[in-house]
Amino acid sequence: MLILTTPTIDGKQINTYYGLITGEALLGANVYKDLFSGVRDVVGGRTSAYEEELGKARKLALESISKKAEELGANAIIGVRILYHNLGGTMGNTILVNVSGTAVSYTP
Amino acid sequence: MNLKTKFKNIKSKLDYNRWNIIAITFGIVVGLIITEICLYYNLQIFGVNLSCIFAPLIAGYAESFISHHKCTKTTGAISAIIIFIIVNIKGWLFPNSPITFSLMTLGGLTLTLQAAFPIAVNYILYIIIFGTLGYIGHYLSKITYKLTKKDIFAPKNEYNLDKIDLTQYNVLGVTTPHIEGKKIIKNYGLIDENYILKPEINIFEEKRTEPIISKQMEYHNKKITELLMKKAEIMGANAILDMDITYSDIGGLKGLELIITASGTAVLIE
Repeated sequence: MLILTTPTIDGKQINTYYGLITGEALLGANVYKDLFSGVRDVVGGRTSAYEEELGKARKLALESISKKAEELGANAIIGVRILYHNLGGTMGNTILVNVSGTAVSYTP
Repeated sequence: MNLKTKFKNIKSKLDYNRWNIIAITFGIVVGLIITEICLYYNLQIFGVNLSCIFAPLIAGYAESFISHHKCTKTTGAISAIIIFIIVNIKGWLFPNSPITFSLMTLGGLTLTLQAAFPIAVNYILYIIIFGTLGYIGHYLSKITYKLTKKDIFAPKNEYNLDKIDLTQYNVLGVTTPHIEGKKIIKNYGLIDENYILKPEINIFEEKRTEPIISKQMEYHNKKITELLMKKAEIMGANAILDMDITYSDIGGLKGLELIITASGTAVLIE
């Protein structure tokens, strides 16, 4: 499965458009990880625990859209966008990762 | 030598802040007079002397009255805190005097602190206390429903994704700005759809350590796509370019309300 953020595949002919596909992953931030990321924010340095969690959620969302595209019979996803949303106001500790793209098939 | 210059520095500072010190002293004196009056006439409510509350308040008022007229800056009701401490020490060390540490003293402390740091204390009073009460209520209701074995926090709706059939609309939605090999015949312009939804996520759910796929969000994505396609079809379009679905948190402090928006450009292609 080819996943691209560009609107076209350079040098390849797109045959069929299957339309919009979306994938969502919810991530509940762990309290202890929150605590340590707060400490690291003060001390300085990267909050790698958080980055790993976000990476996992993003991977899950991308896997979900690849699966959906495969079911439709597509072999590429173009124009992919990844968005992050924070849910829950000031008490917010849930992150929504939203991935959307267009499923297409092209002649390789 | 060093000590002397330091002493001089302190002295010059004291000279500079003369009116501040006078204001604080005046506040303390007024506060003590009020305390003595309250004690002498035995002014009590529920067995607690009124001086606990009124002495710091009036002391703070008297102090800021003077500092406001004589200095450019206010002293921040320092005498109120001092008076409060004096009144409490008196209550603890001389148990015979009718001042006791109780809930009313805590109220006095809150009022004193509010005079000194209004914004911080108001935040604590209105947001932290009421917020905590709200969450305690939430937990209590959860416990009662667990005891009666009725789980109202469980998702009410089963999200049936197959129920929405997008193929019935002859509209192609894409995220790209054009469709390869197809010419745009007519532009209908921007179309959008939005509605408000309540996310079924529990903030206090402990099990959610691994990311999960949200069935509710997928359902709403499909539903809003359907609404947008319906709109496009009514207009006479057969494709939506640059389609985008976003969420925004509009719930304020507790933030459990989302607005879902879908937008795109409706066009007629070959």
